[in-house]
Amino acid sequence: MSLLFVEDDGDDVELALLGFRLQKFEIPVVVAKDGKDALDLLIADCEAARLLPRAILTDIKMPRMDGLELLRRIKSDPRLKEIPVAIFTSSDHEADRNEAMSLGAACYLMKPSDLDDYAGIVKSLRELMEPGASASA
Amino acid sequence: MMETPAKQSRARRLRVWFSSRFSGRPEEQSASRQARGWFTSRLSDRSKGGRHRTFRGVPDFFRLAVESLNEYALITMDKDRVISSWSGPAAAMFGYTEGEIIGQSVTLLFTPEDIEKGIDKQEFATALEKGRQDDERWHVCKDGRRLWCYGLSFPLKDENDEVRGFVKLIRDDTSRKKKDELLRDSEERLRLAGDSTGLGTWDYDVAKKTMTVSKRAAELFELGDDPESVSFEQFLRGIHPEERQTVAAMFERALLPDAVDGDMQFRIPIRGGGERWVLAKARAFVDDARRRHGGADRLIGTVVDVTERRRKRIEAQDVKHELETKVKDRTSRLTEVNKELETFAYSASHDLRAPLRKIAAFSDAVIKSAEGKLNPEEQRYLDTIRAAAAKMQGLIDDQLKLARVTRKPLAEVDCDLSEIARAALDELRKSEPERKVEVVIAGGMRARGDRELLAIALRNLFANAWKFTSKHAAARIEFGVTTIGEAPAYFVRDDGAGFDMQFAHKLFGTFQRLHPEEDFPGTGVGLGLVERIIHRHHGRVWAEGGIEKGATFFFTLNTEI
Repeated sequence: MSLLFVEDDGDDVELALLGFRLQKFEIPVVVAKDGKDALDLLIADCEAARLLPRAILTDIKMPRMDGLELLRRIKSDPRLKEIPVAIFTSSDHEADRNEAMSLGAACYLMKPSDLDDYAGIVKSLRELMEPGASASA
Repeated sequence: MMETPAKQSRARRLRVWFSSRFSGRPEEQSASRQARGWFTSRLSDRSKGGRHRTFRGVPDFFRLAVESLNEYALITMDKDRVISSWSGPAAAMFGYTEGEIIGQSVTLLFTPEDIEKGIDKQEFATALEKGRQDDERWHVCKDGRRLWCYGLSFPLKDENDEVRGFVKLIRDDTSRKKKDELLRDSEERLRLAGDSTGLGTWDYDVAKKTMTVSKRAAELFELGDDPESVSFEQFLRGIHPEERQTVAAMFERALLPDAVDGDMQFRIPIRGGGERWVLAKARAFVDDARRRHGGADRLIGTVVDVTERRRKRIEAQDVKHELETKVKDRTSRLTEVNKELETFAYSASHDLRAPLRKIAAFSDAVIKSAEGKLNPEEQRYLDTIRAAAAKMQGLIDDQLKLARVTRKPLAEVDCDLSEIARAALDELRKSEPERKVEVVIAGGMRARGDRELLAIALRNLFANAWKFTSKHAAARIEFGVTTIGEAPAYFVRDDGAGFDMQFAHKLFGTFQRLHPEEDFPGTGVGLGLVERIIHRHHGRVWAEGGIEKGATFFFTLNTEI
């Protein structure tokens, strides 16, 4: 079981991993540096019949392919569409949020400036990956 | 014919054929102004008793007739022009009583200048010679005042056609003379004013179809060298063919009953080339007899050259048009630049968020990984970095909110402002349930606008009222509507800290604060947001208040004040 984290900003990758560790989120995280990279990985997994990530956490603004385009591709691919996708962004732009939700994003998470706020992020990810787990925990 | 009573037997009888038409103003001509007939009279007789006896024998009918003409003084004289009778109006006119004047020479009533010229004698000599003499001259009153009089003298003759004396009728025309002089003066002034301002005058006689024109009007209408009068046809021929019919129609209209003073502008082709624009003003005159048949019988008016005025106006219009185009161009360019600036502010603010968030988050990471190992000073440095970052984050968030409020397309619908207000105040109550705030919201306030933006505006106004009443144990916040001019003006009133009116203009400035942040936290963007939203709704927002006297924020919508 793994989480695919799509993020072009190295600092944000580092902060997120730090936040996950502080929140005792022990699930393996695979990092893709943009949407294109992420889609290539997913398709390669499908073709090699490897286990797909349990959830995807993606930034929006990225080079080559942004998070919303990635989301659209995933939702239009029958092999991938069941994977829950969480948006992880610093944009609280209403239009981005609406588009993401209408494309089938599972949730819309804001990048925190306080490491303690990773508690909420981690809780949401756990719910996506193990539905009902946090409720019983 | 009447006979005088016979008891005055010693008196010599005089029978006189009296026939005279009083010449006067034509409108005064009437039967009553004519005296005609025989009268028999007793004349004064100087030989008897040495006393001048009055000419009392004027028969009653004549005396009554003459005295009923209050305007006329009747004086009779003997051959030597010694006054023998003096009527009531004569006494009123000249101030001498009968007793004072009878027996005196009529010369007493003449001016020294006329006496010097011998006019006092001349007048009666002419009357004698021609049977009558009328004239206009100055006469002198008892108190020295001079009266401008119309006078008629004729000789009195007896049955043997012998002259026994004179009658003089005098009418005081002083006030008419003054009026005539005033009229002449004002006519002269008008002419002078006309000459100096280039104003011409004209007078159209409807019945005769003629135009009487002043010298200047003749020039302006190109009617030749100073004709006093031209036919209406000739006048029309002088007008530019394109406007001739219109002018003729306007003259017709001006003559209709109930017509008002009219203005017309038309062209007059100038002999020798070019054309002149003139402005003619007309006023209709109607006499009562004609009014019954409808319409005026006379139009009088002025005319002035407006060629230059029109040229300047056209030039001014051109300049105005040019300016308008320039303003339009600049405005559109400014709008464009503003848009670019907004986009820049938006993306800059947006891009600033990521690094700021990282500063805050990595500082947090340092604090967390070094837990327990930092000395208090190091800990304080990191806290300061985080506080500063948080503060900047707040400012950027506000800047983004402002940009969004400006950029968002307006979705105008019918909004229930009362309902929006209740929701906003409920939120505030939930945030601080312990506060005692009395909230009064007028019901049924509806307006057209963008619901989301109006909600932001109201939330900010209420948040402002909520915040600035926080130092008071109990507070009151009211949302209502009043009328200013003809438009509804909504208001949010609180009884909080208020503000100094001299700084009222700073209230809506973005990031402006009137109170220290320690007292009332905030970035100072809330009212800036309100102002932008109200402006986008073509309204106006302003505030009234006093220090510790609360504040009232008014706003209008869709009024373009």
